[in-house]
Amino acid sequence: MKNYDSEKHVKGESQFVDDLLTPAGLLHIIVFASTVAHAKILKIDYSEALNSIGVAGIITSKDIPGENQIGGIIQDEPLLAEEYVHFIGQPIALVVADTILHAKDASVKIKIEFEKLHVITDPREAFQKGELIMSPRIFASGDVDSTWLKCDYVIEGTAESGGQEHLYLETQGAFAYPLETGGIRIISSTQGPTQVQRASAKVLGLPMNKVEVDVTRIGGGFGGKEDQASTWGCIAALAAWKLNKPVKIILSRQDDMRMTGKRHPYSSDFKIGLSSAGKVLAYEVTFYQNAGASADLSPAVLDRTLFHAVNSYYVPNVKATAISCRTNLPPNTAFRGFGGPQGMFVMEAALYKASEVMGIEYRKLQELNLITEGDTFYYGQTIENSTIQRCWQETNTKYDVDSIQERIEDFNRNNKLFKKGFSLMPVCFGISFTNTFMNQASALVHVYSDGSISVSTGAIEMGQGVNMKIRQTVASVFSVDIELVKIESTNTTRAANTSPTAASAGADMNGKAAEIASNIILEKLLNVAAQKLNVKNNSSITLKDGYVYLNSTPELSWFQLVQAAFQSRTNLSSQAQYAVPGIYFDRTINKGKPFAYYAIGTAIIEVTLDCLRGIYEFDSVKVVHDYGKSFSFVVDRGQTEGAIIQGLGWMTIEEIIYNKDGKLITDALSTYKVPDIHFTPKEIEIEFLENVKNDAGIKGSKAIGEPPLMYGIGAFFAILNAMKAFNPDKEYKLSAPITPEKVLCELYPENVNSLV
Amino acid sequence: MRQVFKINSVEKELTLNPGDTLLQTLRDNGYTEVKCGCSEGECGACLVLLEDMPVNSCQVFAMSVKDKKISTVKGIGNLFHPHIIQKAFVEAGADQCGFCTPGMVIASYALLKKNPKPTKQEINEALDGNLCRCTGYVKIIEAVENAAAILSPKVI
Amino acid sequence: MMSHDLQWYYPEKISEALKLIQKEGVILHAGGTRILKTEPRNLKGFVDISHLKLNYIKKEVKNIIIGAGCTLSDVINYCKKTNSLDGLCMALAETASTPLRNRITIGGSLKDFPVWSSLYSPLIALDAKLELAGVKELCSLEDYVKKNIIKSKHIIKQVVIKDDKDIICRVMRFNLVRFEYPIFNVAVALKVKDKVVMDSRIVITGVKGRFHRFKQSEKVLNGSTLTDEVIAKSTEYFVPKFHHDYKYSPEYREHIAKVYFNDIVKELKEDMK
Repeated sequence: MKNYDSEKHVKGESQFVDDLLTPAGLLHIIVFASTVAHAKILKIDYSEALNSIGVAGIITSKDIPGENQIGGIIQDEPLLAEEYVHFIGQPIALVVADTILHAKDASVKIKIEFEKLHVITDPREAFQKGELIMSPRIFASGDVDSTWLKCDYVIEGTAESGGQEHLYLETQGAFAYPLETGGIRIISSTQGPTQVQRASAKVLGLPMNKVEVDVTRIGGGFGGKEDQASTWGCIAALAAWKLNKPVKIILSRQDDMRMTGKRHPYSSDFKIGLSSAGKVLAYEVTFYQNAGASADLSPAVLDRTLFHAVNSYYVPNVKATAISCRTNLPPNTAFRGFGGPQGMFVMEAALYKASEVMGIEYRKLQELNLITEGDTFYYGQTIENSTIQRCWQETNTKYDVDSIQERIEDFNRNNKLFKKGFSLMPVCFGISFTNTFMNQASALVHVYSDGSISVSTGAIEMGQGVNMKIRQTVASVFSVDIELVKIESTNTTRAANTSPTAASAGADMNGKAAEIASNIILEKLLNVAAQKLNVKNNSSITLKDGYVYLNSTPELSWFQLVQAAFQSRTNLSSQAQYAVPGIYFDRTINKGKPFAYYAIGTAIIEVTLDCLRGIYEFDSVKVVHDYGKSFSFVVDRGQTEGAIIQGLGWMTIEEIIYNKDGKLITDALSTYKVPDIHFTPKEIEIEFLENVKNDAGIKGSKAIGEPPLMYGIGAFFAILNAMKAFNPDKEYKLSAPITPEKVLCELYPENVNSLV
Repeated sequence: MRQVFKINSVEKELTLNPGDTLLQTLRDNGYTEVKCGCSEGECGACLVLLEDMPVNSCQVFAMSVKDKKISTVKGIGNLFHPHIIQKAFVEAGADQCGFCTPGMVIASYALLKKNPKPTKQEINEALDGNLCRCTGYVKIIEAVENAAAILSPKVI
Repeated sequence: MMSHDLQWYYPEKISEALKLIQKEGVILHAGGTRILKTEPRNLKGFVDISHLKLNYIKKEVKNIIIGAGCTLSDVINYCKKTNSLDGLCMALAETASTPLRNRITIGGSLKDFPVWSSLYSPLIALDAKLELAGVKELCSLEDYVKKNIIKSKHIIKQVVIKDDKDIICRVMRFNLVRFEYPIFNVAVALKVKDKVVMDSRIVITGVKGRFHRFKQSEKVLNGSTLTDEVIAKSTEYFVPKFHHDYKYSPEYREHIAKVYFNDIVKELKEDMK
């Protein structure tokens, strides 16, 4: 089963927001944004800009008819700055003109005076100064304080992980126009049409039923368009509403990189206590999350960090504290993994450091502490039907990890300037939104009188194959050719109150909703068939491959059945909602069962390090992953490979650098390096674990979007191992991304006087 | 201003500003299959064929190439059965969100036209100017290898 | 940068082009990518010479002549086909990406000494000379930079390189991700006869003063058979001075540059055999 849009993609026929035919008189927006990270706005003079050629208007916070507020979880984010600015790139005004060139020319004529204020970019400094997004959150179980004395080893340390730019190939953008019927339609590049709808309605002071958001597809999201697409959607809507004209905004790549949030950088302190045999008895960690200037999704990201603070391990005594720190940077946001990778990284760093101190192999410590069936995580959820041990064991046997180790040690003995390293990385990632109420989805299915089928859900296609999965689900309910099923654009008038397509749960929830809706219609069709075939009830009627069977004889075609239903005034449309059952979380005690299930697997990563140049090459990434009953090997493999490469990039070459004034230094593709084709590992081998089925997932499958990204964490420790082989006496920093520059600085510290 | 260009074997008069890049000109005149990913020449989403050579249209001035043969992904000639390359991409699952795909197809087409039996190293070289954030490149390389295997080297 | 009133000129002759670029705000465009990268201000017009067929490469007696309109791909393909100018070929093949190499011109990579150019170190090492439009005498690349011809309004017509089979050259560029501007480029060219180094040229770009030739290191290599002692002594004199930047300390880059220099000389020693 291939992606729904594949044929269109290869022919260049698939359309994204900036490709849509636009009406004459379309206006363009350039956002006039802050050039300082923290200041009071003293004076702005728009007069010269307003008189510039082609300008249709300049919109400021004073022009907002509704509320100047787009904050979701916490209402702390204005759409347009009022008295203060809090990060470089914060929108202050919208310059709307007949061409982009005219808008650009006008925007440089705006004169602004700032009174600069102190800029904070470091989360620990923010914490010291009390600049928090919300009060710290603690997940705990057992008693760490009294356990330290019982440990044979207590090891402390610090781990840092960096931000990551989404770099969806299609930049943020939206196209909005006023509707004759009153209200506004927004075509938005978003993962969350309802989020854009809700925010725009609030900004425009309109009821939600007057704001329609439509999305056919997006050119990559990765979380960057889960919440932050709302800014651009609102901006387009505001301009369209005020000027009563169609308006488009498409961010240039540099503006996108400068103005939008990224993966949250974390600075964390850990303390891990182990028995001499290597069992982890206690783990205490404090995460300082660099949230940026406003909350955005930081509280939810913080949550997930806490839920994944021990990765795939069982630790009887845990205290995890997470602090969301307010800094003068663009508000950081969702990114594949959503705080989970950051939490897991610290746990792996702690185990790695412990292995160094104790002289026990890192992978032995990992194996010894893997969570087993029936164990309970510190937040109360018990591991059931878990394949963690299976994936770990199979990785070790199938890929013969012992031989890999031998081969690598042998290479290292015989090579001076090139060293190899490897690392295993187990992943256990909870699937469901951590905010229970978000775990719902809806679908609208029409069977037209000619037998063709239309399906609308809240799911957004961004290349992950969700439309294909939903299409296949519906086709199999009715047992018809998949060509009869059309997935409609995602539109708020057809699927209302939807959650964003995120948390890897889009296919599960929307697929199940479509399945429920289809089954409702199916039941009615079976009754129609029973009546038509003069049978008492429909138990002996089945639909198979486009035909209606009475026992084993085909009696009617699908088309004849639908016609008969239509003639008998049977309802051939159905809307259904799916709410994930059985999950709950009590925030007063931070205990519950927040996840429908876990996505699980193990990877082994091998790397070769050029110890003279600091550059590395990935020799292989080998994975044993539990996909449940996979829908499509091609789609699942594609998602796995893409996620792995993105995870590798996060841990290695992708480095976001802000200077102390809050300016993004790595603000272009020439300075921010994402994996190119040369970066790919020489070998990627993926094994689908057999004989597994996941009842909580759509058609027995498991969510695939985010989990494989975390395998990339293994790359960091593989490189560290190679560095250790070169210089075993040094204690290496646990700081990601481990760029080639950082490798060199660590290997040859006597040559570096000034570090960034 | 208006100027005639030769795009996909058709001569057409396009509207443009004198300083516009080929990318801007093509997109403003309806050739939206050529995507804008960065305007820096780094991502390859804007790749077109200029006299059968792949170039970043965002790094080309339109008025400098008004007399040259320009092909977008929609106009890859049938001399080479391009649908085999496109088919190979679909079969291998080499596209996900689809935004980088037109550029990838152009780069692959140009490679196989010049070198019908490329090594993996040569495939990497040919696609080194194309970024993909979704696929991790694995399936794209596979698609090019599969297409090369199908295409007869006698057809040049 | 780009106003609505830009003029495009398509002169029939180089001399005409040279006259046109003397005008205020009018610059040369030969089909490369430099203008879009540098975004000059107050532009009034472009003088497009991409149709003037300056993209030839020919052998003339003892020289290889490369037209300034050649793209990097043109040069790479020629070098591969004729098995000449290895070092130059390698340096260019690692620059940018395939589609960019199809547009970046030799002339554009030389004019104004752009930071991304990988041409300077191999060309200086090969003692390349430039022919400028309207100027009879060839100009060495070193003079082109040092005498500030770079800043004047001129047109590079072609690059002249000695076609000498006794000259071997290697270039190494320091960058950490494949597709990146080089932090520095080291090039070493040796004229070798009967396994003895007759002459050498050692160049680095990316340093203070844009480029530097290490004449003392060259002196050590000249007349030698590249023994280990000679190489070590030569390396002692190889002390490049770098600027500070946000990424690496100058001491760090000096360390790596020395390593690279050593590597190159050792590889050339192998080539000599």
